[in-house]
This record gives sequence, structure tokens and C-alpha cells, in this order.
Amino acid sequence: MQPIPRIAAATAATTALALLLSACGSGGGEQTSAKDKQTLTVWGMGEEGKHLAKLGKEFNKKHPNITVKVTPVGWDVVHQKLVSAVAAGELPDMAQMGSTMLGEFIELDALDTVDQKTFKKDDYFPAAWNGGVKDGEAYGVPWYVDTRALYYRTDLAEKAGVDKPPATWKDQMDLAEAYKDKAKTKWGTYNQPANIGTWQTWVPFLFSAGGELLDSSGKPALDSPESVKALEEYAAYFDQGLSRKSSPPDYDVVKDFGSGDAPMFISGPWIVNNIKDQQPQLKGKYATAPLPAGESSTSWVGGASLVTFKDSEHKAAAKEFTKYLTSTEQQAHWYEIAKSLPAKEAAWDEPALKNAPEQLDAFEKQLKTAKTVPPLAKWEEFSAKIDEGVARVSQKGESPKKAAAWMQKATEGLVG
Amino acid sequence: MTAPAHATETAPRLHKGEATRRRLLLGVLWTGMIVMIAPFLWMALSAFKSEKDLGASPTVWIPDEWTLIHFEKLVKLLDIGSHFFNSTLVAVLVTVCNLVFCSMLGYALAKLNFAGKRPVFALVMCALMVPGNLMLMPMFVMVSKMGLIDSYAALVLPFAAGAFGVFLMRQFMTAIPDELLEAARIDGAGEWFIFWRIAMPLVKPALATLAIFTFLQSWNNFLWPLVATNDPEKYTLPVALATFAIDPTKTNGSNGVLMAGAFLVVLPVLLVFILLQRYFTQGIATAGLK
Amino acid sequence: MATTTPSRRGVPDRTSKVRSGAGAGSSPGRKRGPKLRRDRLSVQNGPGWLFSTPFLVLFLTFMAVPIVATFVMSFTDFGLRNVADPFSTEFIGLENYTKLVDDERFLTSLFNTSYFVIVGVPLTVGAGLFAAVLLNRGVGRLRTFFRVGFYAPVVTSIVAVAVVWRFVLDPADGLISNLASEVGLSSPDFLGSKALAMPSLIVMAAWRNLGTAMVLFLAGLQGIPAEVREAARLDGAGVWQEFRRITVPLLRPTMLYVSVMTTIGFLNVFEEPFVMTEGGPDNATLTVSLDMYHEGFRFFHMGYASAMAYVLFTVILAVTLLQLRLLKDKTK
Repeated sequence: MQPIPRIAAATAATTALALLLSACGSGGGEQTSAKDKQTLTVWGMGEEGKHLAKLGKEFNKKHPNITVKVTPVGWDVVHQKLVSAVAAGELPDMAQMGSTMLGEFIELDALDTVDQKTFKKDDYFPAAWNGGVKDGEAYGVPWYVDTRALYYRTDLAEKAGVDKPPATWKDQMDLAEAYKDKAKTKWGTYNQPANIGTWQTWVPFLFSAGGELLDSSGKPALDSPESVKALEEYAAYFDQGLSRKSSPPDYDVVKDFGSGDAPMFISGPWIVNNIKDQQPQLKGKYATAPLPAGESSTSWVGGASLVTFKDSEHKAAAKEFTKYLTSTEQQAHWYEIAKSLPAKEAAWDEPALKNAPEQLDAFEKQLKTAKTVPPLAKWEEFSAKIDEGVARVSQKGESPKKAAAWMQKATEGLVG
Repeated sequence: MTAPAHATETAPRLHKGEATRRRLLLGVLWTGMIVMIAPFLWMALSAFKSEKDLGASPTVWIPDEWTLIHFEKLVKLLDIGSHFFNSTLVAVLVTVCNLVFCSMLGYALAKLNFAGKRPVFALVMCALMVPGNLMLMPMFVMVSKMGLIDSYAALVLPFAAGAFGVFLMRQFMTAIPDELLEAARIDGAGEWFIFWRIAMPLVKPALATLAIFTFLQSWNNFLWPLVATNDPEKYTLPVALATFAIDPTKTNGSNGVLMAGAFLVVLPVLLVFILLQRYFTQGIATAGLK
Repeated sequence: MATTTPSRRGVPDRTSKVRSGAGAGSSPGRKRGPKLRRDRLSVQNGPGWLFSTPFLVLFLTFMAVPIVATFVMSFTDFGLRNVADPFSTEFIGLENYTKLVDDERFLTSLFNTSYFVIVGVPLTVGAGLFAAVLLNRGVGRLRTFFRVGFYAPVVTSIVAVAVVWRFVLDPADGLISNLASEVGLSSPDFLGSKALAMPSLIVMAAWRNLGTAMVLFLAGLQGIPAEVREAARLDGAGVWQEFRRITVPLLRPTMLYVSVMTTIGFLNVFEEPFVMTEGGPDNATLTVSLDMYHEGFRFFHMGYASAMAYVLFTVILAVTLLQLRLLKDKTK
């Protein structure tokens, strides 16, 4: 009996070590042909990640040899998880990548180039395509685009004596006040006060004030008078108690929109779907509108591209799946499932989009004038500084001018 | 065990003030008990309340209708089964490793005399004081370089031999009479045999304590698994729950789903604790007494 | 070595030798006992090291090397690219540390962590001691019941507990706000308020950890002989005096252990703000560990994060030594 446990212990110790040492290095190996039996791993994000699995199954019916395995990752952690996966060399074959993240992953040399004979630049919205281009090479195929517009409760607006959508910043402020004072809602609107992604609601204010993220020489322009003005306008809602000054990490505005606590907010087109699913009683009681104008009504273009990672051994299959997802019919189909706007211009002529619910009109209109967020390698950090700059105004009570100067200083080292 | 001590303590003073004092004492303790248990009760009740009752005013304390809707939603959103499996597998492996490795060294430190014993013991004591967060960055780099990100090995190996376990086992091993081991040696038994067949069975209660503590610690471990796994399929329960709890696209702000998640994470541990509570309190007390 | 290595071949040989030695006479053998044992023990290097190997290998790989590596990294600009290629990182001297001194976020996090520890540790240890003293005053069979209840939060995952408490403290539908509305009050937004967020986390931490302190104190209290108490009472000492003059001094070693362990744990506080507040509002609950996680694993400034880790480690070391000093001196 005696030798067995001793051997067991010894092997346990040595296998531990062996395990540690043996697993070193496993680079990109042989490419698998698109005709072989294989599993394609894809990371999806946020709302879209949830729906992508469905498309994977449909694709599998047409290509029985390719099984698509979709892993949805939350937006809050997806950046760090993907970057860490690049560092560790443990990547999926493909991912849906947010437009603002492309710059960083191109810089990291983690993405495979796009075959521009198969995927043609001219088929896509230029803003979407250009976000994935560096030195003439494209690294991502645009999958969907989105932009931000205004959601507001029409029933409560009526109660508050307002019968048309707010067209200017002043209208918007008046409506928020009317909601609170006359319709007795808890808040007048929801401006995200702090934490990850705050920039998404503030940048529309910046662009509409006539401001820019970067000036013509590529330096941050966050202390411009326009930026200060955008911060002032954003902050006014907190100062007057029209928007909550803090929200829990998983705050979902749709819930408060449904209860009427937050009768107005700025967000993207997928919210139409969320409202239908989670607050069905709101049918006919809300509307969307283009962003109320400061100097102009200007939103930003976001969205996601499909990327294939350099180390993937299933590039041919990845190309097939990308082709499938970006085909005109699939783009229209995707719109029906996820209410994501097609990145391929031809898809907008499909019946699904022609007959879209009126709530989507605002987004379509907004898209025509929306500006791109510049592809920065350090956008994650850059945007975190904006998040913190806004929090300085909303939570610390710092003056917009001081906060703008702080943002400028904090971002200067992050460009170029 | 301690009942006689109380008898001698309280018996001579059983006059008038004593009854009121005892009532007061129990009052304070019951209040404390309610405070300690309230969050768990709240969690359990909320997990079974309908969405309507959750936000109702005036408050609905006991659900009108008990519903499993939050659990159904949770299972759709979160692959609880595989996270449960990950957590369990990792915790079992960590526990087994600790039982063997910590006992080995604990035995050596208590019962064997070898050159370098003192420095090794000093090392164990130092390791007890080192906060895990200190090593996070290089550990991530190492594990990345070894290609172990997203592997069970990465979650198990760094915790496979805890200093606390060594310390605990050493304390218990010291109490084994030397004569017993000596007699075995005289009979010609090898050290491994003595350790495995004589010492280990004698410290079974300590092994039980160590097993429970290690298992729990591993089960509740958070920061390292958060860093060492990227693929959500490899998340342990706490990592899955935490990333779920900060993701509005998942919870949609529903506290019911969150409470259902917390309920599933907390319940098994609480049940095990209540069943085995004797070992817990014994173990922690022994570990604390130097 | 040859005789100690427990090889099967050596066994009968050795036994016979020892047996014959022992058979020579029992009384001299016993007298020589200690010496004989030392002789035998002094030749156990082989098994001793063999038994130490698994721990030492793991310790070296996952503790010693990383501790040194963190230290080295804290003087470099270790970034994302270096994860794949660690040796191409560049030394930048003390730059990370000088940057930390000017880093408003880091200083805030250091302040918050200190706040958490300075208020949280005494609260936790005090509550644990209070509970232990009460439970030690003869509640009979109920003692186990209360002990289980008070200890229960300790065994549960901090993440789960943080999720639950986030809802308990929810200003709209939470437990506390519901209780408040029952008596016609309204509850503040605990986690959304700069002033209340940190105290809320502290109360929660005390709630979760007082069980450990309680169990340790209970063990310590049971170590105090009943006669000592009895003697004090016969001398006319009241409850308070007995507590002050007998319980507290005799519990000092336990108190030292509990305080040191709680402090180390609290200085690393991470899960609570990660789940409940994301460090907000206005960084009021940003702790060093959370800030380090952001720098290290969101932006991958690993050199900088390493410097943070070392500052925290130094603080932990200093506080531990200070506690050892303060509490030990008084025991004498």
C-alpha cells in the first residue's frame, strides 16, 4: 500500500509544475478550410450578443459543417476581457467589436485584414467603414451602425401641457421642468451622471454645441468654449434636481421610463426593442425625436464591426460567417431581430426598413448628420477621462470650466 | 462542554435582579439576531416575489403569490449550471490539494527535525501576512505566458497550498504524542506511512475544519478568478454574479433576478454551514489560539 | 542518508538494529530517550524536505516570484505589450511613485481605504467582542443558535452579500426604505450619497465580519478560568469592572490576532465597491484595490498598478507592526 500514496503525492507535485511549464506557447497554427467540420467561436456584446446566437444557428443550417458558438460578454467588462485575451493569446476566432474599440485593436496588431475584393468599401456607410481603416488596410467589416436620439413620454408630456417634441435645448429643459412640476414625475429626465459610458450621453451635447473631441491638429479639444457650454447644459439638469445625481451600476433607464420616474432620456435605437419587451404598456405613449439642437442637432455614429483575429485558425469560416451577416437580406433580418440599423446602405431599401416603426425615423434622420468618434488607440482611457470629467460636474459640483480644463489636461497625453 | 462553568457562574446569584438581567440579555441578542438575518430573509423573500410586489407601495413583505419567474429569467441570462460546476470543481481541487500539501508540511514542521525547518516555518508565517492583491499583476503575466488564462489550473494552483492550512495542520500535528510515531519508526515504518496511516487519521477533525475553510475560501474567491478568466464560460459563480450585477443589459434593473442569483449562490453555502457549524467555530478558534 | 531514506530494502535491517538496541535494557534506553530521539530526528532531512516540497514549489512560483516581480515592475513602464514580451519593458526609476504622489484619484483611494479601516476595524472587533461577552453570560442552549446566526454572514460570498445589500439599501424599493415608510419616514439614497456611501459599506463589512471576531473571542473567554471571575466577584467587582480588569486584559492576545487579521482583510477591500458603487459617487468609495484593478486591468498600466500595490503593502506592513507593538506592550 505504501508506495501508492507517495507516488501520488510526488506526481501531484510534479504534474503541477509540468502543467505550468508545458503549456507555454501555442501560436496560430494551420488554417482550416471553410469546407471542413469546425467550430467557429464568436464573442458578442451587450444586447446584440444576446441575439447573435440565433443567427449563428441559422447560419449553421446553411453551412452544416460550421458550428457557430457565440459567447455574449457584457459591455462593461468586454474591453478589458478582450484586451487581456489579446495579451494572453487566448482569443476567439471572431468578435463583434464596438466602433470605438477598433483603433486600439488595430494598434495592437490583433486583427486580420479584410479582403477588400469580397467586402467593398462603397457598400457601407463611409463613417462606419473608415473607423476600421488604417494605412489603406481595412480591419473590420461594418455590421450595424447606431446613433443617439431622444426618447420621451408623450402621454406625460400631454399631461404637462406640451404637445410637440422638443426642438432646442431650451425646449428640452422646459419639458423636463414641466414633467416634474406639472406631470409630477420624480425626475424630469435622465442624464447619466457618472461611471462607465457616461460619455455616450454627453458627447451628443458636445457635438450639438458645435464642439469636437479632437481639434484639427489632433489634440483634444475638451476645454473649448463649446465643450464648457455642453457641460453647463448637461450640468443644469443636475443642479435643478431634474436628473438623478447617481445611479446604481446596473441602472436601466427603461424601467424608470416605464414607471414615469424618468420620462426622457438619450439613447440608441435598440431601446425601441427593450421597451417593447419590458414595458409593453408604453405602446403609443412614447416617441423619439432628433436631439434637441444647441447650435445644431448633431449626434455621434457608433455601431459595431465584425473582426477576425489574426491568430484564428478558422479564417475561411469566419469570412463565410461575416459574408452571411453582412448580406443585404441578413442586414434587414438583423434589424428586425435587434433593431440595429444596417451598416450596408442597400439594406435600407429592404421592406423591413421601409416599414419600420416611426420611432426609428429619428435615428435615420440623425444618422445623416452624425459625426464619428475618432478612432483612438487609447479611446478606453480617453473616454474614462470624459466620464470622470462629467462626474466632476454632476457629483463633485465642480464648475464646468474647471472640469473642462481638467478633462483637457487628463487627455492630452492620450492622443497621437 | 461549557455548561458546568455556567452553572457555577450563575447558581449563587439567582436572586431578583437576575431574571430581568437575563431578559435584557436575551432581548439584545434577539435584536442582534434579527439584524444579522434580515438581509438574508429579504433576499429570499424578494427572490420569490413578483415584479409587481417588489415595487409595491405600501410594502408587500410576504409575497402574495410565490413565483419562480426570476429564477427562470436568471437561467436564461446566466449559464448558472456551468458556473456552478466551475466553482465546485475549482473548490474541490483546491481543497484536496490543501489537505494533502498543508498536512505534509504541517507534519514535517511539527514532527520532523530537518535542517532548514525554522526558515521554512518563518516563510509560512510571512506568507500568512501577504495580501493576495499584491501579486495580481505578475501572476497575470505569468499565467498569460504559460497559456493558462481561462484554465482550471490557473484558478487552482495559486491556492493549492495555503499558509493558513499549514499553520492549522502544524498546530494539530504537534498534539500527536511523539511516542506513537516513535513506536512506528521502531517497527520500521517509513515516514510517508507514518504520516499517511498514523498521523492523518489522528487529525481528522482538523482535516474537516481545513476542508471546510478551504472550500469556502475558494468558493468565495473573487479578484483572481476575475482577472484570470476572460471567457465568460469559465467564470466562477461570484465572477458571474458580479459581472451580471453591474450589467444593465442583463439585469434590466430587476432586483428580483439579482436576488434569485444571490439566493442560488448563498443557499448551498449556508446549508452546509448550518449542518457543519460545529467544525467551523471549533476550527477558527483553534487557528486563532497560538 | 542511506539509512534514513525509507527504502524497502533498508527496513528489516534497521528494525533489527533498533530492536536489539532497545532490547538491551529498558531503563537505560529510557534515560537515553531524548538523546536517542534527537539522533533519530537529526537524520530526517530527506523526508523533511520531501514533505515541504509541494508547498515550497507553489510558494516560490505563486508568491515569492510574484512579490519580487511586482517590486521590479513598479520601477518600469510595464504596459499591455509587455504582457506578451515582459523583458522588453523599460526601467523608469521612481517615476511611478512620484506620479502616485500627484495622482488625485490614488490619494482619494488611499484616504477612503484608511477611512474604511480606521472606522471599520474597531467597529467590527468591538461588535464581535460585545456579542461574545453577551453569549458568554449564560444563555444556555440558545448560545449555539445565536452563534450560528451571528456567524452566518461570514461564510457567504462577499459578492452575493454585496448584491443583496445593494438592494437592502435601495432608496426606492429597498428593505430599509420600506421599513422607513412603514413608520412614515423616507430613507436617504445611501449608496448615492457622498457622505453616506462609505459608512454604508463599513456597516455592511462589520455585519459580515463580526462573526469571526465573535467566535475567536468566545474561545478566548472560555479560556478564562471561572475561578478568576468568581474571585473578582467576591471582591465586589461589578460587571463593568470585571470586563475591564479581567476580560479585556486576558483577551489581549486574541484581540491582537483579530485586529491584525481584520485590518489586513479590510485594507484589501474590493468586492463591495466593485459591485455596489463602482467607486462612486464622486470617488467616495474608490479603494486602493479598486483603483489598482482599474489601472492594471482596465488600462493595463501594470507598472503603475504595481507601484500602487507596493504602497498598499507597505501600509499593511506598517499597520501590522504598529498593532503588534501597541497591543503586545500592554500585555506585559
